[in-house]
Amino acid sequence: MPTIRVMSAKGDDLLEKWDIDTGVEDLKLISKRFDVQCAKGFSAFTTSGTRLKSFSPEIQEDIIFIAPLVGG
Amino acid sequence: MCEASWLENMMQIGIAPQPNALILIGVGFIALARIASNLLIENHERPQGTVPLARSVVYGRSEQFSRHRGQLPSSELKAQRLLAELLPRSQARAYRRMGMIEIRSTLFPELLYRIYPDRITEVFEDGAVVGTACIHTRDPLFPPTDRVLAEYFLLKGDESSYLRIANFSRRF
Repeated sequence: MPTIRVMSAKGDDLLEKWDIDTGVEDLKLISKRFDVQCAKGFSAFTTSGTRLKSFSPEIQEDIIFIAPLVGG
Repeated sequence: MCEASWLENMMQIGIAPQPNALILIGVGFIALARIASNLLIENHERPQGTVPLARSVVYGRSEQFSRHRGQLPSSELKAQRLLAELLPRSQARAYRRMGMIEIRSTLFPELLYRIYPDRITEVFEDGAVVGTACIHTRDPLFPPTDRVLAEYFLLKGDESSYLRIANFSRRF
């Protein structure tokens, strides 16, 4: 089961909502939350750097969500 | 009564300080205190193993950062810890020591991006800066190192998106 990481500044709030670290293993719920984060503009990557467009139970690596970026 | 007449006499012969002079002395004292306070902040010892950031970043425009005078905000420290966990050891070390990480372009192997927490990202070709890439988090309250981490992952995993989002300036 992968661990979900989110960016630090506001990550704590998001992490609580995910419940991943507390052992919830409902894949449908995780998948739904994954889509919600993506809809907010967060991008998901595996820790080795592969971009994830959707959640798959086969993913063994940790997942990190990065905050939306904009051009300066 | 006696004291008041003494002060009046002193003011008449020009020895006692005038009210305007007292205000000037007060303003001067406040200015000196602020200078001393700023010097103390600049020389404040940062926690071991953390990345020094430019004063403008640490005491940035946002209230969140300005509240943490003299030390890195906890969100920035947390971001630096996350970066140290997620990046390869050599890059995490380079970031800790030099305050920047380098990542080679996957689409244009001759290009190399150098990402700083407190400066615009530079693009190198054959060891020379050929341009800059301006990109930042949509939410300005994210700490600088989170932006570094975000840029790193976007460059590594989806460089075409990075190229689409960032504003590039070419340097000759």
